[in-house]
Amino acid sequence: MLKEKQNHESFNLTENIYTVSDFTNSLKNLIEEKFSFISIKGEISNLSQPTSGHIYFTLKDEKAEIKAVMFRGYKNNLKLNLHDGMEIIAVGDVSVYTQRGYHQLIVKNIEVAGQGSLFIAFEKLKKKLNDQGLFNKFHKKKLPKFPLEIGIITSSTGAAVEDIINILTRRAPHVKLNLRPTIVQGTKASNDIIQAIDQFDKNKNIELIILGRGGGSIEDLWCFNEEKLINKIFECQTPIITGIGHETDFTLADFASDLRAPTPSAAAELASISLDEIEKKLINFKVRFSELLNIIMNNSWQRLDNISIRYGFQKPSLLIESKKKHLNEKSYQLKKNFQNSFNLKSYHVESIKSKLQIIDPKLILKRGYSIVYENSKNKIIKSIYEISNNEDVYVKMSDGSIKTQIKKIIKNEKR
Amino acid sequence: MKKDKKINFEDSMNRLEDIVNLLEDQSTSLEQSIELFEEGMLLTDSCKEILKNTETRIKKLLKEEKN
Repeated sequence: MLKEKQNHESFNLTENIYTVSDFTNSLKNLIEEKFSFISIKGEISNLSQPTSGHIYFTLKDEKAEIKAVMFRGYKNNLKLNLHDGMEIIAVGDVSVYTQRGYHQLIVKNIEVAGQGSLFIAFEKLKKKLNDQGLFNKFHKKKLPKFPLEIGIITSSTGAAVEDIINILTRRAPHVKLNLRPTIVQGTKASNDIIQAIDQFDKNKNIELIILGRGGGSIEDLWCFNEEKLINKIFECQTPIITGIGHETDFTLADFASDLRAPTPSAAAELASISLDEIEKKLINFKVRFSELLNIIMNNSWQRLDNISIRYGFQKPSLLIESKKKHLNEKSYQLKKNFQNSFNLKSYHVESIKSKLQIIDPKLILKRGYSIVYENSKNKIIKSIYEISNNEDVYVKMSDGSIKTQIKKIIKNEKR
Repeated sequence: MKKDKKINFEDSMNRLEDIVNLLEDQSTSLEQSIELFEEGMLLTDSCKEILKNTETRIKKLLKEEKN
């Protein structure tokens, strides 16, 4: 379309002469219409941030360059520290600066170039390692509550190492610190960090490892996303706390470690209970110990007292009393049983005696009966046929006997 | 009670329980009762001794702690 217009314009060269302003404004309109909200990738150079608050730079690649400006109002969108040589993607509108006659990019947002591909790689590796179970909470080791020796892996320069050491020294002066300085950026970093972890893991005295690094761009922190380092962190037997970058930075090392701290300083604080807290705990233990001892002693005394006051121990005389009582009971029973037996026998004798008395002939005589004997007194006459008239007989009574003669025998009449 | 063995509070307490139960049981013979009673009194004394010694030790430990 532009080409057509240019052709059209060249035909009317003599008829239609532009002023510079007209032409430039036409160009401005054309360009602004065509190139609004576009993204351009390139490297920053000639970065200038004057007191006006606007940011000026040139965006270039191997063969071309374009001027760029980010006005003060858009700076809030900026989350990066710009520097020369930085590869970025600038998002904005192309415009023409008519006064100077050049086009420039009015930048509204800036992203780090390559973040897209790095981000994809990050997500891909994160999924792979997650599927392998490296980030599983099940594998997280418990941090020692009172570590006495801590291994610190970080750069020997920068704020991170100072923060970690300052905090640990202030909070927990009893903890011995081992620093293993490492490279924390670039291609050699991950191998160096792996070696450092190995060294600390082999040292039996080191109970906890802090892996720290100050803030930086995603590229700066990239070594903490490398697979071999993540595997090493996972394999390490010693618990590891990571404090990498700022609160918003998440690396795969954070996912694999036993505890992720938002910053190196936070890692140092999480690494150990402060001495004050330990002292408080100890005092608390002392109080609880003496309370418990008191309870145990009281219970023991009570137990012994409870046994001592049982009558078995308290009144041994009662033991003999009960035996005595038992003896008396038996003795009484013995007497009683003998008496009973005696009485029973006496009664028996009496009853036999009375039975005998009933059949005593003397008693019968007393009741008015008499016994008739023959004259010789040897034989009792029981029938009228045993005697005859005028025969002498003796009649025995209770108080004497009569000698008499039978005068007449009268036979009982038959009924 | 074996004298060569070091007296253990818990064992002694258990034995005391047994003894007092036996003593309170009417079927225990008189001869056995007096032997049990004697053993019980000796054991009670030694248990008291153990508790007093322990108390002394606790007091000493708590005192050391204050210093």
